[in-house]
Amino acid sequence: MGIHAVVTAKNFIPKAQTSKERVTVHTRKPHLWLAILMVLSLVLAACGQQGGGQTTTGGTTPTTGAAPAGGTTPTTGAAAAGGTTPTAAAPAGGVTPGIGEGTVAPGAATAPTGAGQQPTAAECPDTAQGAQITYWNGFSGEDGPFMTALVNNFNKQNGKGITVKQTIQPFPEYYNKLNAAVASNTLPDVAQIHFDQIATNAARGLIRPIPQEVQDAMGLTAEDYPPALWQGSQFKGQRYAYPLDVHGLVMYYNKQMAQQAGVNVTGGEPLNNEDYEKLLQAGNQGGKMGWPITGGFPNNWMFQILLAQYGGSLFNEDGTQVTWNSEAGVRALTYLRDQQKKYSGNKPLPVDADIVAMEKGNAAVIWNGTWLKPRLTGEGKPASSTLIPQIGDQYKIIAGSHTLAMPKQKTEDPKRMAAAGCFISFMVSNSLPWVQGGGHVPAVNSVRQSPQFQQLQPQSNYAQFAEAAVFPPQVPGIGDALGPDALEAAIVNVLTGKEQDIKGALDRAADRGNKILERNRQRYGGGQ
Amino acid sequence: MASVTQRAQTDAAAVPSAGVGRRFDIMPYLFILPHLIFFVLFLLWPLLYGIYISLFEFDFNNPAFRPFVGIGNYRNLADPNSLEFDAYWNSMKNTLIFVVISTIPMVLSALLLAVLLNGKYRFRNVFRGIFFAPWSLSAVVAALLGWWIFNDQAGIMNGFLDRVGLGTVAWLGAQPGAWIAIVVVTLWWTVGFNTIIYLAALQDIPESLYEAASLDGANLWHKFRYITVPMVAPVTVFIVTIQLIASFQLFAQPQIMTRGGPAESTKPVIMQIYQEGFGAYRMGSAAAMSIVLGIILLIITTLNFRIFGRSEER
Repeated sequence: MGIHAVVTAKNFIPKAQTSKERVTVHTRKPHLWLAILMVLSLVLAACGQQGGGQTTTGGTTPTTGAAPAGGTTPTTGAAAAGGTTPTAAAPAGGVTPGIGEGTVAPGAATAPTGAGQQPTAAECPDTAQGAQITYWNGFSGEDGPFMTALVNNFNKQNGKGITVKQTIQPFPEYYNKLNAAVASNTLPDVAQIHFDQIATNAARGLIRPIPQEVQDAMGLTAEDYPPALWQGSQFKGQRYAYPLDVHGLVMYYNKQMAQQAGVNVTGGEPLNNEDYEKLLQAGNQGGKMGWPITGGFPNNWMFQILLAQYGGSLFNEDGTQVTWNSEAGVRALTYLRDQQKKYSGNKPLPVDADIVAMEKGNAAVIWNGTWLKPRLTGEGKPASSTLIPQIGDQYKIIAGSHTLAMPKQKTEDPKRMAAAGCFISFMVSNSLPWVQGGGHVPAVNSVRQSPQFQQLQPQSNYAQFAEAAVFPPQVPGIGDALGPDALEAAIVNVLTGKEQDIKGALDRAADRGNKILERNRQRYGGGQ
Repeated sequence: MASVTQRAQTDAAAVPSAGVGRRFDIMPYLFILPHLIFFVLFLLWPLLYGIYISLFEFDFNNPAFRPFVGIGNYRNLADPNSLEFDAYWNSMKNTLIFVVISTIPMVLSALLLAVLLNGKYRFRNVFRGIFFAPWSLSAVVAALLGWWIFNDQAGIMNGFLDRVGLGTVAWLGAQPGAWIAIVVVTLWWTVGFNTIIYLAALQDIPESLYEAASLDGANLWHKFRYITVPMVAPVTVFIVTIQLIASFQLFAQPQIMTRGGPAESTKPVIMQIYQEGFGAYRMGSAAAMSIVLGIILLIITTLNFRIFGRSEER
């Protein structure tokens, strides 16, 4: 290519220099037109090629863009979306990019084989005998091996000769791959779908409602799940998915500072406002920070949590209107901004500065994802994690969840479907090896209440999480309103000091949010 | 990609001169046929289909909802109250920033490198190879290397700065660090291509010009300023054009290094188009965005040729 360009460049130069006026006009016209076509097509071609590129998106779809770390990624929040999580969003390792950066060597000590937990022997129906099914997920991060171990457990223990072939499509392009697979009719039998993506993918025809007879054979009922998880994984009254885990923000705290402050952080209950303030003050001296709040991720989630705690909500009940510009919303964002002024060292903090401060022992508290567990906690490290405190009048948190769903197939095979159901049922009921790895909380009650899980540190500190979690209504595309096109813009602008008028910022974001909801309603015809 | 454009230009120049005899002659068309087939298949057809798509609300996995919106997608880009307006023009602004801050160093350092590499010394070809080598990497590899160097927490650069006691810099998490990192990586990666073209141009300058200048007592700077620069001027026009187009297509570096951050400040227009199409599944709007971008590119390219190309002919 290089050589070719050199040659043509040479041809081209003398011509332009020597040709007479008339000839130039002649050569110029078609030249120009072809150039026009070429440039246009180059642009289009470029876009087309990049379609196959390696990542989905930042802003507009919550999940995909969010995905910083392999599997252990925030989803509900378009919070993590592109723009604001530069480093966290970067490739491969994500939030903990360094190769050996205190990550758990997969497969080592923790032995992700379900050690300790007695697997509820998978009782697969005879109709599934010998089926071979495919399973896709995006867990390319450090939790991948734990997922693989769980799949292997099923392959060994199902007793009906069912084989599950797992394919990991790294998260940044995961949903892209699923979409492409629709076109080529190569969707897998089972796919990991984020909780907040169930409605969108159901409406766009990627996943299908799970047939009643398969559900019956699986044997999971409303009693096995916290209500919000069970109801939320349905769309328009039909069951599309089974939640595997719950993940979200927890409070990482400096152990020594907590001791100095004399507050009991690990009592199994969240700190109240008073104790929390004590802890922040204890840390906020000698050049250290009480609570570093950055200008980016996860402050969108932090706002959503506080909004819920102050009694507000993101959307009205049927998800047709944005409601975050309520009094509760103003209180939540004002609280965050004021705490930032008091406890964040009086200077703007870039994204992830909170993580670094906690890692180096320079902060009393940060709120960040469960997936930072391997990086921030463990022996010899200054921090541990526990539940987010109760700031508002009621205890609520915002969470995401990995669920397992069945993609739509052009031709249905009852045998494979029975096997898929049995597989999903096994995975969610034996999720202990999985949550060990990433710091998640199991979604299914029996696993969460098992003595084996109770012994897991720090996960068991925040087991309440599963009950306290609130989710946005299942409306297709609803997460778009939480992204940088609407809600996130207001939060980032206020917390980077670009915007002083909190009510005004939330109102403007609400305007745009409502437009997005309206647009998606036209496209997908609403939800629930 | 550069060669594609070039090839088209040569083709265009060839057609009229061959067809001077006014009689239709199929020969020249046969010659360009192999290229024409691929051009139509992979460039012209996608272009036309893109224009078609831009007139619809278009989601390739949701054929049930595909209303014809006419110029609606274009109108959204012109309406400051639309949802697309801010994001699109912000990304366009970011792209323009990159074009400005990257094109100048990219052209100047290529010229400088070419002059250095054109000297007579041992291992000259080795050095040429070294400077050209990064260009053979794919965009993703180059950007990934850039990410490993500049990422704020585990990057080699910050590790180094920290060790020599300068403290760490938020390269990718704050401005202007993010742009600096992206420009440095892009420069390292692509400067070899421009350099090679300049090198070829330098070799075309007759040695006698320099000899004559030496006799007149010109020093190195004078020779560079009054012989080298004007002699390679036509190539400079070509390189600037190619560079403008390449810079406008910025995508992989911010996609991998910053994800468009911090606060959307390095999100280029191609990334915005990509997210609109493949993230929000709004291919119609994305197609309209690319066509607007294409028109802007076209205007800039034409201006570039008009302004610089003309002055060369006098």
